Amino acid sequence: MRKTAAIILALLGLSLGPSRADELTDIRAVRSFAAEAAKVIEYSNQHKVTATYTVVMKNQARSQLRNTAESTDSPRVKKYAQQAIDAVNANDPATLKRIAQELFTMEGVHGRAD
Amino acid sequence: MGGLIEITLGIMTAVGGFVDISELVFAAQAGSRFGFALIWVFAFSTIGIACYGEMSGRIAAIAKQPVFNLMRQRLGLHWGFPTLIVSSIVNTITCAAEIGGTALVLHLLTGWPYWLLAILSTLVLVVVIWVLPFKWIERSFGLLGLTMICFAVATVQLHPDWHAVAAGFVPQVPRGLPTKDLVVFAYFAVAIVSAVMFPYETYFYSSGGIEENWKPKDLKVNRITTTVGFGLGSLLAIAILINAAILFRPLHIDPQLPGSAALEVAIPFGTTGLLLALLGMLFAISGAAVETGLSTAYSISQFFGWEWGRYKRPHEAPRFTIAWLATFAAALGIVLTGIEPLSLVEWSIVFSIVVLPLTYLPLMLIANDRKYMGEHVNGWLANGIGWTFYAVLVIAAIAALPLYFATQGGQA
Repeated sequence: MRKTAAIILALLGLSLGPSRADELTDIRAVRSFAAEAAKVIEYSNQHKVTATYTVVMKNQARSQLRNTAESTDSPRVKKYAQQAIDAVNANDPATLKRIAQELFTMEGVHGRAD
Repeated sequence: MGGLIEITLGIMTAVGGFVDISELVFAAQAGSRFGFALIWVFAFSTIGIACYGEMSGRIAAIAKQPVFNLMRQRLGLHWGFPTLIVSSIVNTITCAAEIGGTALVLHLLTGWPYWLLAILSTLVLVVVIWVLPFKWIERSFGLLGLTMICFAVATVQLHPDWHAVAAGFVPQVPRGLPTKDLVVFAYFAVAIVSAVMFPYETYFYSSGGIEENWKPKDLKVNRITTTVGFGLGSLLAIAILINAAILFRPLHIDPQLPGSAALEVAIPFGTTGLLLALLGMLFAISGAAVETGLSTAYSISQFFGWEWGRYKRPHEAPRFTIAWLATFAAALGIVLTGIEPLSLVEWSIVFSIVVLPLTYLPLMLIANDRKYMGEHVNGWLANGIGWTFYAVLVIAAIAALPLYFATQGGQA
């Protein structure tokens, strides 16, 4: 019984989730959502994806960007997330790509593995 | 001729039923984040699930024992009961992730509200399980899941550097990674092992063997289904990883939602590709929801010695019926709290790896017991692979939680 309780407590601890994300994690998140939204809008403009898919993916990108903007402590991440939301609203893939590229550069050596 | 048809259907069902939401999410993220460097982990884990799957099918055919019967016999109440509790929690969380994933894909197809689609898809799955016999449930979702082959077709169309892809099958750690990224790489490796070797797959597969009344003559079908079927199924997951490495990585996209994976087929094939990808994902993920829901009921019923099985009418196995209905209700409840499917996927991955050593130990013990297995006990190859993977699973189970926290669930 003690074993069961210990395991359940461990699972409950896990369900609280890992510690809050640091700035680098938030930068990565905004970079990825901006790049993803850019691609969806681009393909929507070329009629390569359905209208419903585009609307849902844009809504999800907006919602994730808003969540990151609200939870981050970093003013520059907040700024970039807001710019990305505005670009999604304006159907502006060029700005979204620029934001993704700038954030990728900011990640520096801690960016993605090569 | 009948045997050949049976083998072909078995392989096709295994291929179509291999990929679920966790493999979809982690394969796409792994490709986008580390290129081809994690392909070998998928290949390696597939050998493990093929080995344990074959063993569980052989035990079902010869000893007529499903996994949780064995667990209670071999581990006793002392370890067996905690394992039952944890695996039931894991299965329910996984079932919630699959229902959430199903609703998300339907949301992308129809635009209807996510919560409404979660309720509707759960109701449809419950009706399907209630009405259809086991074989039909397994075959229909598995065969419809074959639509996922469009991801492999997209891979060919994208003309990857096949030498680089082949090099990905060689065990490796990418050179020059900062320590923080090395830890993330390790987290992804553990997560992929867990996603490929999910415990519910063995519960479902061995219970299915008993549902279908496998006999020694079915051992050949069992061996071919688990090796060829799981092997080809794993290639679909690897195709998703390769596509992500080619398409998402250069664009700085770390795909966070199942919907992003569909772009992998939309980019080379346009709207038709997108719809095929979404349909394939819908069948694969909803099939996994059925498997996880039933697996919980199988586990509980087998552990307590209740009547179980879909070959019986629902009222002939009432506690089994209540168990799978309750699992779907609990899973839907979790989805409706608003927890994101991706978080559920991460939790189920980490919880699963912790349960895996306790799931596979009784299998190894019974498969080596002549009293149960007679001449069909494990040979040197099954024992060599089985115990090697057992050691890997123990190490992965110990590392899973620290890696999850250290990498903020792979997001660090």
